[in-house]
Amino acid sequence: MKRRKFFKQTAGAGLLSGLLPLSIRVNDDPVNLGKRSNDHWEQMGKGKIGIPKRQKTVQYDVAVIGAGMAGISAAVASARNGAKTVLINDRPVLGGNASSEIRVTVNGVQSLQNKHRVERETGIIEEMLIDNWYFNPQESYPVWDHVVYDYVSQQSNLDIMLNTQAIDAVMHDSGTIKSAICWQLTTETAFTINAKYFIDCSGDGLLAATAGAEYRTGREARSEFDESFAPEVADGWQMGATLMMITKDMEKPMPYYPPSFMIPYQAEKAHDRKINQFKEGYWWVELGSDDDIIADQETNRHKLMGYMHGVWNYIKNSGEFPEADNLVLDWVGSLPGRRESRRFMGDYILTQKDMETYKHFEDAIGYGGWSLDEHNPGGIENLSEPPSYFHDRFNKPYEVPFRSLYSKNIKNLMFAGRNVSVTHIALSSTRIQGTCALMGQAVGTAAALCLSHQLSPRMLAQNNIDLLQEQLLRDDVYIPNRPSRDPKDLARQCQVIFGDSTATGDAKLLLDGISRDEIDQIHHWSSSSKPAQLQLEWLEAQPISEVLIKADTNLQRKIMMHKNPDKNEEQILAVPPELVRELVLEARVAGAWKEIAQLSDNRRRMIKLSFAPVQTSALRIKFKDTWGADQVKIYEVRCYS
Amino acid sequence: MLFIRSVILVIISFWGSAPGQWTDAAGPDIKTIAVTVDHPALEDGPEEMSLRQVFEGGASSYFFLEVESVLCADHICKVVPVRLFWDNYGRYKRYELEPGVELEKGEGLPFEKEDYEQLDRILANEESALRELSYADITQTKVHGEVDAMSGATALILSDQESIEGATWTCFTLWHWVHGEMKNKIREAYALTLEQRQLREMLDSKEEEMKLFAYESLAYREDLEEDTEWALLAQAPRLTLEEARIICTAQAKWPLDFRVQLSQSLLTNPAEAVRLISLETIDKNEQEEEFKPLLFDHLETISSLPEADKVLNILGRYGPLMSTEVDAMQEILKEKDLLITRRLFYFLQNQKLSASQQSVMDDFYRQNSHYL
Ligand SMILES: Cc1cc2nc3c(=O)[nH]c(=O)nc-3n(C[C@H](O)[C@H](O)[C@H](O)COP(=O)(O)OP(=O)(O)OC[C@H]3O[C@@H](n4cnc5c(N)ncnc54)[C@H](O)[C@@H]3O)c2cc1C
Repeated sequence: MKRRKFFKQTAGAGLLSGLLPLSIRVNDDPVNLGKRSNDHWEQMGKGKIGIPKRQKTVQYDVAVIGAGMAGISAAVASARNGAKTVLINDRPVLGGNASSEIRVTVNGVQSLQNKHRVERETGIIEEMLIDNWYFNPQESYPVWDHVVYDYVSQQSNLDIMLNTQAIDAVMHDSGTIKSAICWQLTTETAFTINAKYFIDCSGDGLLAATAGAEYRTGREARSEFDESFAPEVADGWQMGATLMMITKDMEKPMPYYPPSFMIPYQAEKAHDRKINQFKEGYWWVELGSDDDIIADQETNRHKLMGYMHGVWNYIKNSGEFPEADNLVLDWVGSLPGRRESRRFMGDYILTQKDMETYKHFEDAIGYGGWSLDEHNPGGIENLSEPPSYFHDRFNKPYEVPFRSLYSKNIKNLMFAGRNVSVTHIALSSTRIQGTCALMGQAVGTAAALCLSHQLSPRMLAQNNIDLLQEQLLRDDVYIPNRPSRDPKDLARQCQVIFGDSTATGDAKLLLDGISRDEIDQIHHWSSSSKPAQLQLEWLEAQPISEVLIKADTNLQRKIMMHKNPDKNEEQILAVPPELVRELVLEARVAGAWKEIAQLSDNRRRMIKLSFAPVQTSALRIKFKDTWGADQVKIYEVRCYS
Repeated sequence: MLFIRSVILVIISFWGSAPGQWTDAAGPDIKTIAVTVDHPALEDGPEEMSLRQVFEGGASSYFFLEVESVLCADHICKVVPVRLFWDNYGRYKRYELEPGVELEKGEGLPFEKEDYEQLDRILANEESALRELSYADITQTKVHGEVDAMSGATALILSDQESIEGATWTCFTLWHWVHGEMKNKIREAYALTLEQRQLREMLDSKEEEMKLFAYESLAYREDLEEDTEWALLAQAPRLTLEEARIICTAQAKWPLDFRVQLSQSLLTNPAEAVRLISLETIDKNEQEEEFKPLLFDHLETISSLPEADKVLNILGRYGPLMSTEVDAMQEILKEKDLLITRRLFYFLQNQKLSASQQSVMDDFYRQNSHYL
């Protein structure tokens, strides 16, 4: 891999901003943003002359900036765990790169070289993806936006602010962030968002940067972390941004007239850029930067629009692809999806080596496993090199440590997603959205725990990591090599747990703290038919008010939505048939069974039943139906007082 | 079903100039069986094929099938016939090529000696990652989501031991013939050639695969010979869970009196899981009171709550207990551990009780009120 030269010629715009000092900058006059004096506003309704005073100050426990898969997961986790939370996104829809504005497939750990090729992420990300099949089996991207909006807006304790950009940080004297200054473009309002903890999941991390959090861009030298895929000498490579498209078949030959900004595609010079499908655009219509990708963004966007039409023009008008005669562009992206810009530094920097050696971290909070898929920033302007250096694949998931998710120098700042503390080479794998979402759920949960225990993220990492890990495991996150051992879980103290039939596994395995099957290690109980029943029995009565069940959604089968229906081949385009749909929970009180909770049309792998406390020495869960499967498969049962 | 892998090292002598041995496809000792089987690379669904069963000394000895080396939609690759061999239990043995015929890798290169050996090892590996690959994975390199234009992506899913460079299609095609539906077809065909006497003998085999095969084959038969019934009754106390599952699933087709005896025998099995399956099978019979005495007997020996719960659920369906039955149960109330006796206590609470029986209950309540 050679350092590319050609960006040198176009990097003029980036150079200037590159020279700005990166020292901590405190906003001089934050309220200035919404101050107005020159308006001549005659308010006919009120019959007066007015000045719009649109400045607001709001107070939250936790402010999450950016609503991609990472930010959404962070905000929902924070609110669920009790913190008053706001989720701020500068776009009109939620979803970041996965939204209808950009349409990147929500991939996760897959293509492992092992018996489990797919090791799907559970927790918040899975809940959204399953909801999508329930509400949106038609795989419409705009509808997906609303599915996500529905999921997030239902969450109590959580406010959403759309069309709102965080542009500056106000700092306390102590060096922590006091407020995020935001501009809401639809209401022309300047918001001062005060919060105790800030989580930057914006990918680009403007808030974190203006707060003075240390960050890096570009590639580390091979020697710094002993990374075999890193370059000899550090350089500025940042993986590029892409515009996608979707086509449709008109069932008759259709002409294509390119727009004036089209840039012809030089197919004969292209290396490794296959046109083997015509449905969903080409991820290699990509442009990066080897200096300052944020500064280059608008220039790149214009060019990408041109290149995208250039490729389509080549397909339609070169005569090489008669298969595409009847196809037309149905949707074209205008907002390039971004892969890489700022990486904020935490107490730990995750590296290629850690991932390839499957290093065990005492503070692991989740996992990844996408291949090391490093794109060439020259992208479509550098046709002689492949669009991605596809370095290596994993055998099993690698662990992601919590110390990579909070700032090393700003005490109340965390991050998740593509802007976290990993090397450039590590990011070539960790950037995948399933992995980003797990990081998000971890920092959101961490923020709520920091709040309730009055800790900084670093203190949580150093002295209280069990708190965080146990909460994540309870909330259906999988952490490799970290079974749950939650002392508050009363199910673990039961004398017997048994099913009314057993086809595979064993009911006892539901208490072993691992809520999915691992390679060659079973952790489930499956009935031989449905309805089916599980019973837990304690010698002495227990005070119980919550039962948690982790059911089956088949974690070895993919469940994301695709732009290209061909990619659905091995998926099920509905709520997973294995999943429990209907159940009743009964407690034995004075020798008689009494219904205490019931659930129908369940769509969650993590089934949470809350009810008025009962004092009981036996519980039984009657699984009445699934979404299709003939057997009932369960991975975990927990009980709490 | 567990497959005891016996990698049969074949001395492959059919490439190069050495004259090969191409097994006869017809003859007095070769039976042709028409089977309809599917293969992931068959675009139009299952196809009818001719499976050959070879007899030696009057007994079934092995099976073979002639297939094409590659199922290839666009026919860009060279296709040669390959014979695949299995033993009577559907376990892969070896493959054969017609003398003088060679397999090819990408770009028309012939297989080397190591490639032929490698192919044999790949076919012998039932756990190969080839199982998980789809035809699309191999034919369109879209295994990698974003990087779907990468060439050679399959090579990255399969380790070097699991594929032959340039011949992934051949490996994929042949592996799925070897380990696909054909295995069961072979087992079924073999079972049809056996007498119950032969199956009974297999029950004592040291080889688990053979035993499972015998149980499976007996499970298909409705009319069990008396000796077979005896053999099953004798085996029941030592059946493994897997074996017991096969037998219990088959029970519905067998006569009631035999089922009762078999259940009784199964309930003496030391493995709780086996006893539970037997109880589940009785549970499914719903109304048959013939099981009642053995359930009462079993209650006396019971040491676990799941079993007690199951037995009482079944007994509860037979209607109110007789007074003597209540007495018998109250005896147990004095002996077993509290989890079991508590279940029994709640069960008896709903029965009609005499005054003395009620006082046993009251005593129990007084002693254990903390747990009730
Ligand atoms: C074309 C393309 C193909 C890719 N392929 C895949 C793939 O197949 N599968 C996969 O999983 N991943 C893929 N990736 C990578 C993946 O999309 C990203 O790494 C991932 O989306 C990062 O998630 P995130 O939540 O950190 O950020 P994002 O998804 O980028 O979301 C960040 C959000 O924050 C908002 N924001 C930014 N700044 C501010 C601010 N100052 N104030 C308020 N809001 C702000 C943004 O508008 C956005 O909504 C691809 C990326 C691209 C571009």
